[in-house]
Amino acid sequence: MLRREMVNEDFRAQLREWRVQRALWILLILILIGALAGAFGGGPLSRAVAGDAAESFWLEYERFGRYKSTSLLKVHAGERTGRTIALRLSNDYLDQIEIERITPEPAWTETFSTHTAFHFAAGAGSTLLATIQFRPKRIGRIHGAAGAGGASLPFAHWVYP
Amino acid sequence: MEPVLRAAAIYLVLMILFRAMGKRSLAQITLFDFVLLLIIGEATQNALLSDDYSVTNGVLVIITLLMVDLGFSLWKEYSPRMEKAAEGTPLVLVEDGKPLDDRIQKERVNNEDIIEAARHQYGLWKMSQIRMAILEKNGGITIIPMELPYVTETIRRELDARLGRS
Repeated sequence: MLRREMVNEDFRAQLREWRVQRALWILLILILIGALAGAFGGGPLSRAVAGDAAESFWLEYERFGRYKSTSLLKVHAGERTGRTIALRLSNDYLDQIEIERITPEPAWTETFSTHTAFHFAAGAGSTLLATIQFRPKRIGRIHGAAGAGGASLPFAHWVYP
Repeated sequence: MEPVLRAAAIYLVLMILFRAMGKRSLAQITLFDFVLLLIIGEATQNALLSDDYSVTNGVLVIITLLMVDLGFSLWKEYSPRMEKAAEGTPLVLVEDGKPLDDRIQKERVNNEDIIEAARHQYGLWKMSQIRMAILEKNGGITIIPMELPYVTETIRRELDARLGRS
């Protein structure tokens, strides 16, 4: 009589396999839900604000990013020095990202030992919304600090591989 | 370092994901499965090569994939437990003409798939003609029919010859 063991069936192993499969399905569904919510960048979970939107200087950035994948840092600043508004970004941060584009384009940049200042031409009474489009060059936690006028705000991204 | 880590990670992730999908997903039977595998290939490509199109990167990725594959083959050879974990085991779906419905449902197969395999392999057309149907590790269904007419015929002739009957 032909029995199941004769065809190399191992039902206990099969039961284990099904249990692991179900667990993996649940994990995958959670990952999808998390991704839709922005846990891997680009969604409500990821959008973050540094500073106070009521103040003249505040930031909008993505809490989560992906390696070499485009992300945006938006800087709102209002304090003018002469005819420009200057935005400072820490050099540590700039070393860990690759800037693709800054909109509007800064009129000129100034490098210091700890930070780099980007000067934007600004008419009287205007405020600046600078959008920095960048790609992280590193995986893991990237710390940054942005400053304008007298204020400085820290922020960080968590970059997935 | 990056090409090697990338390739190894993608290989492992794909292996785990396909094991999670069940045996039938390997068998590529329907249009959906085919399209899925095609698109997964495309999605994997960028993850493997990133923005580095150098020959060196390509070769490193290929070597990594081959070596990881070889590593797993050797591991499976020395560890039956590892082999079962990595590849699964055959599963009987039909026994003595009767379908084992809970197993069939769990593997997301349907009776029609089994009859089709029986038809393809032995020209059988109903469940009662199937002695055993097995879902193999690679997702294919093999059929052991109730009766192999040519075998019984051969045995009958042999018996007749030995017993001196014409």
